[in-house]
Amino acid sequence: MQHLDEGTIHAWLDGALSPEEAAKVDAHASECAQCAALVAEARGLIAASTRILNSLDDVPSGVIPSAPSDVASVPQIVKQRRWYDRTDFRAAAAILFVAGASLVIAKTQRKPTAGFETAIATVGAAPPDVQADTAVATPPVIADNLEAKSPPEKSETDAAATAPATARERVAERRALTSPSIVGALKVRSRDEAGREDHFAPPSANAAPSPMVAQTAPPPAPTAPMEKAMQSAFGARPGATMTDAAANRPVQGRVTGRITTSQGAGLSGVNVKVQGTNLAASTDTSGRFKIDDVPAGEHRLIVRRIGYSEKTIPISVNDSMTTANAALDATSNMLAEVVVSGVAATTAGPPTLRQLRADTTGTTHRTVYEVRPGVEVTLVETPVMTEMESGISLDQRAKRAEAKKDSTNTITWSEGNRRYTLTGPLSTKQLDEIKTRLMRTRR
Amino acid sequence: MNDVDRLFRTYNTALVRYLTRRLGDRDWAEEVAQETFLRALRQETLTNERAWLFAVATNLVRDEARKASRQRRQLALLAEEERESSVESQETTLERAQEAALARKAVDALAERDRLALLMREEGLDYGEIAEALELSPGSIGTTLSRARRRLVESYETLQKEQGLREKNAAS
Repeated sequence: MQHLDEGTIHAWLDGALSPEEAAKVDAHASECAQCAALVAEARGLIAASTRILNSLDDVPSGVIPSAPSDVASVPQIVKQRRWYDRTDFRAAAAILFVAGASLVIAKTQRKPTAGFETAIATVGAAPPDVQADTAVATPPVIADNLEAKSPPEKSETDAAATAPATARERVAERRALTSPSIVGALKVRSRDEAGREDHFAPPSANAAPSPMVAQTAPPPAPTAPMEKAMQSAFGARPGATMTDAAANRPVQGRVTGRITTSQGAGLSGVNVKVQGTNLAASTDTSGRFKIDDVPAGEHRLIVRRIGYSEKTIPISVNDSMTTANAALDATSNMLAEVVVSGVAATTAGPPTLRQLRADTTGTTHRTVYEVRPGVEVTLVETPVMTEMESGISLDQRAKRAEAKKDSTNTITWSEGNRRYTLTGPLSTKQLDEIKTRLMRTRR
Repeated sequence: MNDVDRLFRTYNTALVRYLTRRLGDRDWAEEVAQETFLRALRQETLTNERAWLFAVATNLVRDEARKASRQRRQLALLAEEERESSVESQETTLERAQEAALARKAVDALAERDRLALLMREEGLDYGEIAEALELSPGSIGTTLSRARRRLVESYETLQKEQGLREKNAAS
């Protein structure tokens, strides 16, 4: 076998090699002094690198971090902002665009559209949360939409290819995760995917948003075209009146309901999903759920929970609230019978020793012991001799031992001026145990 | 226990430690870790969840790095407050800070791929998971790690020697 390379040694020490490869490496390392030194060095490197990295854990929070060294290497795709590329400018431009478009339409029709007036009146009278959706002429809302709905920057290397979150969603979800209860985060998640503010659970008292949270909201994309921003803001084509926008908005409804056991008790943690969409929710502790912004039409709700049979509920969604209740039946999966059986290994248990016979030939004393019925070991005791004296070369001994290797094991040791050889159809560990006992008896 | 609960409980500690070692700031690391779990929430299925979490966290670090200068300004203010409220013995703080600074320099001196592989391995990711997260071949991870460990230790020892010399010169 060739010498081990450093990568293989590290992989071996990290337990990343297959058993066969590991055995090969082990065998080679025990034979080759050069590779054994490399293994020892690798062990040292692993321990030292762990210790060095551990010292990084003592970092108190709030220190000034060094910029990650890869910052420079990350291609800066973000463009330089132009002087006009500011949120307030864009908001002002959007307002002007709306006003201009409305004026053009009004002039074309030679009289102010009733729809426009109606819309203005609606904006004034609508409650604040409704305004957030419809008040297209309100600069802050437009600014918010521009920020929140602009496409993600190109340089974002999100491996997960997740849907872009709105700024509000990110902040609210972070608040929820900052709180001790992770279940709270799920609740937030289980609500409206579209991130409507009125659906978020209020942050807990100790879950004040960190100052950084606000800053990590995605910056407005400088490349977002105005037309797209207008579409984002209005939900309709640019130039359309607000009544058009309202008319063009797809009809969406809310689906609520309660999932219970067959006994009528509310089931929490049930996953309820609108088939073929990403709209889903989990039930609360009383088994209730709510899914917003479900497109109008015929749908099927998939209701799942571990331990209960899955159900599909057909629903018909319109612009009002749709109720879907279901009772899940508990499933009892019958597992196949497991039979645990064992066979007493022939080598199990502490060996018992019984002397069967002994004979002496010259200076060699041979004793045969019975370990178990049918299992015998032989202890040969000879005076310590040099190779020359014994007339048998070490090489010959090794060959003899090799010949016996298939069926038996042999261990040899010396004590005083005597050499002992213990041979038998046992593992070397068991032979060692017998050796200990025999030598204890002899002493 | 629901799935996100389990994910959070299983991987949060390791992920925050990985990110702290990577970024050098625990608050920042926790922010990124939370964002990572939020993204995991949006996933229908995760085939290899640990590799996925570490890969997404690594990518988020790259994205977050662009906001680094702004955050550093804020962290400077926080650090100022921290110094004012700190009651720890100056000596202990200094020793720890020096050790951490040397370690930070040594880690930063590594190539990005070596550094990430090493930090992930320290969090218990196996070779397959590291390969998946970093989009490398599994066969190259052993070599990557051996190189990273050797360079880290050598770099750290060099820095230690330099610091020792500086202290000696300052004393004389």
